[in-house]
Amino acid sequence: MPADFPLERLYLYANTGAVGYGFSPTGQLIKLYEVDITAEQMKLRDDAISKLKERFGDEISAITYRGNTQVVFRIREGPRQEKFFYKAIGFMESYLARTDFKVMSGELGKAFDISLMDKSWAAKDLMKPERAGLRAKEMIIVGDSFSGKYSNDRSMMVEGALVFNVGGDKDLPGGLYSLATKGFRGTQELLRIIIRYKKQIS
Amino acid sequence: MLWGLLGWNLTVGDRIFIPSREEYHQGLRRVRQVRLLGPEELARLIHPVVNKIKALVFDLDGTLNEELGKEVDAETIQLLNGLAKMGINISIITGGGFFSS
Repeated sequence: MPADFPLERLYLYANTGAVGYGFSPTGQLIKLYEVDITAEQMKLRDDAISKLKERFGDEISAITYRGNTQVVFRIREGPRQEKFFYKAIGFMESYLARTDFKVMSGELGKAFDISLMDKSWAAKDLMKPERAGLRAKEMIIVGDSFSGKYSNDRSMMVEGALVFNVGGDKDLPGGLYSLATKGFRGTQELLRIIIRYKKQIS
Repeated sequence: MLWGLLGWNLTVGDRIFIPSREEYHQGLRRVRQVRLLGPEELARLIHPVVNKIKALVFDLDGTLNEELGKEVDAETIQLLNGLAKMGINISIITGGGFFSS
């Protein structure tokens, strides 16, 4: 970040919102919160992974990040990768139904996450009075993973906020706007427009 | 005739969507038609609400950078810097990605 960036305006959320960071007025990184997984939840999650491995064999590999989020992926890519992926994620979703875990993916066809949190935290945390105390209608939300029911940016669609998609356009949910310019170039286009109008107002 | 037997009320000109294998496995039956916003339409949408906006919330990978593990480019950082200086809160979230300085 540039030295003159007003860090007190910056909030960072890692591991699908399992841990949140902000900055002090003097620019020191502060941990705002961290969600811990309980021993019971850990056992449930580990059992789920075991069942997945039992069903799909050595093609599945699992990595745990900071206790809360587990990323599961297929080791070997192959011609039936997507079919395999949807079978595995569907199996996991059914197994963990009626638990606090969410099953979602940021890379459809390659990897999926099992997490207690979801990406709505990047908006919901800002609504807390001790943070920015904002309302959803005061936010613009931008993501690239809304295609298909397992896409993890879908959880970012907080009701009342203006939501933009700079990713794929296949099987999008209602209630968002999809930009013609994709990826970070699309995000830049949006930011330039906001800056232009903000300057006109001030 | 056949469509009628299947319970589909189709007329000439209707489009039939047959899901691909991938879509079938996602449990999809049809794909929503999406209208993409170009810069001019986007500007028209943003103009009336820009005064209310106090925070921008971003996914990191593929939205602010090119893909997982890639750095956010200098121009994007400058744009974010400009907005933060205007009093806009910037919130960034990642799934399996990570932040660096």
